[in-house]
Amino acid sequence: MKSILSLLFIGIIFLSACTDVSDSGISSYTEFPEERNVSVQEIAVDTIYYRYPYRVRIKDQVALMMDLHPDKHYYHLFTYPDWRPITPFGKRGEGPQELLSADGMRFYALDSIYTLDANRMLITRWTYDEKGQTITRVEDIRLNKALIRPLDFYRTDKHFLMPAYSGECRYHAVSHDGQSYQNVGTIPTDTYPEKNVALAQAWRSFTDYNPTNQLYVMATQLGEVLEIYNLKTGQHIVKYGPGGEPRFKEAHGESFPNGIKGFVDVQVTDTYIYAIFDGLSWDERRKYYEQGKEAPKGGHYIYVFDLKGNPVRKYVLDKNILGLDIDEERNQAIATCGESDHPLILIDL
Amino acid sequence: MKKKVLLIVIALGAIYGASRYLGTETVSELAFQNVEALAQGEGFPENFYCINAGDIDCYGHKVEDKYTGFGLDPERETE
Repeated sequence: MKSILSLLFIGIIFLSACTDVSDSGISSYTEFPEERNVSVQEIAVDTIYYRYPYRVRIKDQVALMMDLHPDKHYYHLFTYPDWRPITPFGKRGEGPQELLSADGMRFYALDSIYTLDANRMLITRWTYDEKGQTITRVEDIRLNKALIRPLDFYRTDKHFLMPAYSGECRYHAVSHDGQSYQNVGTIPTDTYPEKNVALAQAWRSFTDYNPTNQLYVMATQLGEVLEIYNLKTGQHIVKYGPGGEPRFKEAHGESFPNGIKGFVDVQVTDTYIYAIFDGLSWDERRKYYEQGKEAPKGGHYIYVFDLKGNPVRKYVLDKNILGLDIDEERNQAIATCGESDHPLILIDL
Repeated sequence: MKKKVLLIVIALGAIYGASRYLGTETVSELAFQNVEALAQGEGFPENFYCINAGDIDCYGHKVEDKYTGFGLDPERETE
């Protein structure tokens, strides 16, 4: 009985109204005013084989990389810019100190490296000791199960920002203890009448936040929708690209992708929004399987938008990439690549 | 850990066989003959496949594709 009441209480919280945001612009773009072809440079990393190098973030002289499908460890630290391996961490496994999945990472400082394990509903904080070159697990934050399945996160001074999985709202602002939360916004669909998990799955988005301009950016994994939430003003901008809304088939209460695969990663700086874009249709992707070939991993475009979401520039790369870290001072990007012997590449922008 | 069952050959053979039988063979269904299915056991819906290693979230796995074959549940498709 107690558990039923608890579930009812959670349900009531969950169904409570989402905080409104003011839509200050819903518009479309069709093309970029500038396009540049860029050759990437592979970075030699003399270390183990990475199966699916997915994300990379750099802080001062240390780089953090996430392997989405590792044999042993999900996360790897390197020296930067010379890329000497320091230590792996986040062992994959079912043991009490092991991770069931890697769903995101944030690198704020050497003593504030955060990782997300959605299968365990757990955010973990790690600290790196530069002198001893060791990494230590210092804090586990259990997430409220009513959040269902957060697949990305960003830690601000006040909250964790996390895309919502229920379909009832767009994202959650979750307390630092992982328990209480606010629901914010709605999924900006014009084609799907219900607010449910299938919709949220199809609108699964990669996100980033910049504390300087307080912009929270969401880029859809399917279709081509970029959203910008200004957390200072409450404004919300939606930009639909030629790929349009995520397209999907709903069955068994789940979404199954149709249309195109869209954005792969996103980063918002003080001046621009950078996003990797794929664009290959699922029909084309499935033709690769039919021929017994591997479909491309990632996208070979980097889209650059201004902070209002207007297209600025499109880079066409000669390799597909999965994750990126932009260094505007050096005017370059470090990216992860799943189609090369070298897991990391350098792109001069 | 839920036991992992359903060999790929059986799963994909079922899709292929059903598609041939129903005469509705499509690119998608043919395509899945050549891939590795991460099939789950208890609690996993019928005709629901998480395929190859990738970054699409599928029942706790990160996969390249998420596919449903023929089921009795109603299906809806966005435009």
